[in-house]
Amino acid sequence: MLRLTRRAFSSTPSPRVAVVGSGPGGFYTAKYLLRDSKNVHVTILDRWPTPFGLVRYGVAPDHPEVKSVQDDFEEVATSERFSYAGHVFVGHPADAPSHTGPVVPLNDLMNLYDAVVVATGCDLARKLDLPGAELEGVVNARAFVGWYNAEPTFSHLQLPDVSDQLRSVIIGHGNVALDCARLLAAPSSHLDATDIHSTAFEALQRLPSKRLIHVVGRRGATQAAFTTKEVRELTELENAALVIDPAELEAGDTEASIEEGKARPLKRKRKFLDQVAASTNTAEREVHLRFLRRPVAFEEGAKGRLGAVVFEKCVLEGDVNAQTAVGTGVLESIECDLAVCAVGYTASPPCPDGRRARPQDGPAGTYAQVGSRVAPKLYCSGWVKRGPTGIVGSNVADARETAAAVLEDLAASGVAGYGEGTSWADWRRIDGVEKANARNGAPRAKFSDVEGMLDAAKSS
Amino acid sequence: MRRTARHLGRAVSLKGRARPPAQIRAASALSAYAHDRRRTATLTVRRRDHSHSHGHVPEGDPDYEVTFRIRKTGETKTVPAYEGDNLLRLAQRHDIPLEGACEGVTACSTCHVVLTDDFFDQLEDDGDHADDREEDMLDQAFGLEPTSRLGCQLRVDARFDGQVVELPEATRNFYVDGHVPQPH
Ligand SMILES: Cc1cc2nc3c(=O)[nH]c(=O)nc-3n(C[C@H](O)[C@H](O)[C@H](O)COP(=O)(O)OP(=O)(O)OC[C@H]3O[C@@H](n4cnc5c(N)ncnc54)[C@H](O)[C@@H]3O)c2cc1C
Repeated sequence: MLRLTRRAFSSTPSPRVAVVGSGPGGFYTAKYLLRDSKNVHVTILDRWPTPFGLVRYGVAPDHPEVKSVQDDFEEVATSERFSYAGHVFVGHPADAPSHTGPVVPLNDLMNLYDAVVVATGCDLARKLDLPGAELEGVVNARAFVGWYNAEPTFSHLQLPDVSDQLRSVIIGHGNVALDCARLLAAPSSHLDATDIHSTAFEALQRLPSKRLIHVVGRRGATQAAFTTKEVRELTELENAALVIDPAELEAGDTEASIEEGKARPLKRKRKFLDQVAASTNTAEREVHLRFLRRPVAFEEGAKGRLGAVVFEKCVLEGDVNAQTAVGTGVLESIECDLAVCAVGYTASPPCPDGRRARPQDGPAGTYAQVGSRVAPKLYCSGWVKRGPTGIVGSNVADARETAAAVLEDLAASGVAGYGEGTSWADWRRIDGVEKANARNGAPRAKFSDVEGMLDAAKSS
Repeated sequence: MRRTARHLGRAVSLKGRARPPAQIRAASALSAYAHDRRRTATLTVRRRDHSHSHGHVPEGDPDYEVTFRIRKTGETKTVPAYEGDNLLRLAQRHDIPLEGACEGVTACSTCHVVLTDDFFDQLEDDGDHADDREEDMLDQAFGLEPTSRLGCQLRVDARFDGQVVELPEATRNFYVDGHVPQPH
């Protein structure tokens, strides 16, 4: 029998969905589109020849257990209704000046497919617009992470040339900041058996063994976005110590913070931080977790390179869940050779109107305001839908919702199917049965009821 | 089996120390994953069950019954279970919408379940509490409760017989999204 879709009238008789982006947002959406429909075909497009988005270019090399989701995605890709179009940039050519593969405008994609899901993540780094930000030695976490993960755009980063000690300052208190700190503090043995970019591995190995890393956040421990897991990992490195000043930790304990800290994950995190603060840790490599300091400038040092980051001490003010870091006027410089700005990511998804990509109305420039549906035939999933928060698994619930919205709309529009019709092969079978049923000498005995015809169509 | 940083690290931290001594820390986090006994057991099955390929189904009469309940809708489903069943795989074998995005290596929290107070306490009392890794991932779970656990870390035994395991708020229903169950 023939499944009758609008496309039955064209050459490819199944609804086809394009998913832009092959990270968790894209792959989970593909997974549920394929699982929850019988005939939908899914094509994932990505600007890199290699799939998996931040699982390949974000997740730290010493987190192989996180990368095991790739096995699930590989399984999705075995579906006969799945295809991958790599090295294709979707959007405006001006947004991909160094892209050497095809560039397809989003409008064209929407004309070619029955639905398009944008799952392009949050690709842009938030910048710290401070005096001295252009100094050599100041890098963005986006670039630093890209470098150690061998993302082609950033594979040429240079570490400072230092002889006795590398002093780094990491600005930001998210998990990405702690990833960067861990990679800088880790001994070679920790990274040896990982998929770290070999050039980065060698460069880190060449650094002096002595390293001092300050990870500095504007607010207190309760407001920090990093998770207990990531902090714990900093205590498990050989030859390295995590250092927290108990007084600095407690300085953030306003009444509002105590109220904010009542949730179970925050209680656990605080307990762990208190344990670290209570122990005297020293090692050749030290990571200092610093609180209540707002960056104000990058200071020039020798040879015109970065010499220090200047911070202003802060106090917390404001209501529960809305506390801000207010400067006290007291400045403190932390001398360093390298500063990594890890203050978050924003989205700048391709636009359906043919214009250049730009941030949308949701938080961090995402589509978050609109849910799964962006415009007719256009959907979103993953970080570009929700914002740059959560772990790989957090994209699952989102993706299910997006896939359900796509399938619901396809069904309503008739693209997913009006039901079963008959094909020419079915007619040939009906014809055969009619001929076989013929009286002596007659060419055929015609069916006079549709039910009989359909039964005959099913005969072999 | 080599003792790992994780094993000892936990024992040490229970005594109020922030981090294990250096010789214990020598085992990297990576080798800790590889040598953890429970984890190795999980990893012996390479591919996790998918709702449409049910994987290995134990044979013989089931040992126990476990009930899954979806908090949002109150729907329940009681399924036969075998001694040693991994709770995540048990759920998946019976089309109960529990995800295992990381394939049971405690790198995600998609198999989050909520136990009853009594059952949770019983497991705690027996020393079968969540380890630090599991707790760290639970921190990321939607709708975390005091009695939350990760399904992939629970093995069915006699204590599970007759228990009700809840799927938290984010889980919609027993059917795939878009499929609306017909009223009877
Ligand atoms: C540095 C870092 C470390 C992380 N570490 C962990 C971790 O240890 N554990 C964990 O659970 N989670 C981690 N995460 C979070 C996790 O990576 C995200 O939750 C997840 O990757 C988001 O998925 P996504 O599909 O929305 O975006 P992405 O993974 O970013 O995927 C987007 C994809 O779209 C493609 N793309 C973008 N624009 C275009 C375009 N115009 N045309 C074609 N293709 C395009 C990109 O190439 C990319 O492949 C980390 C995130 C970061 C940034």
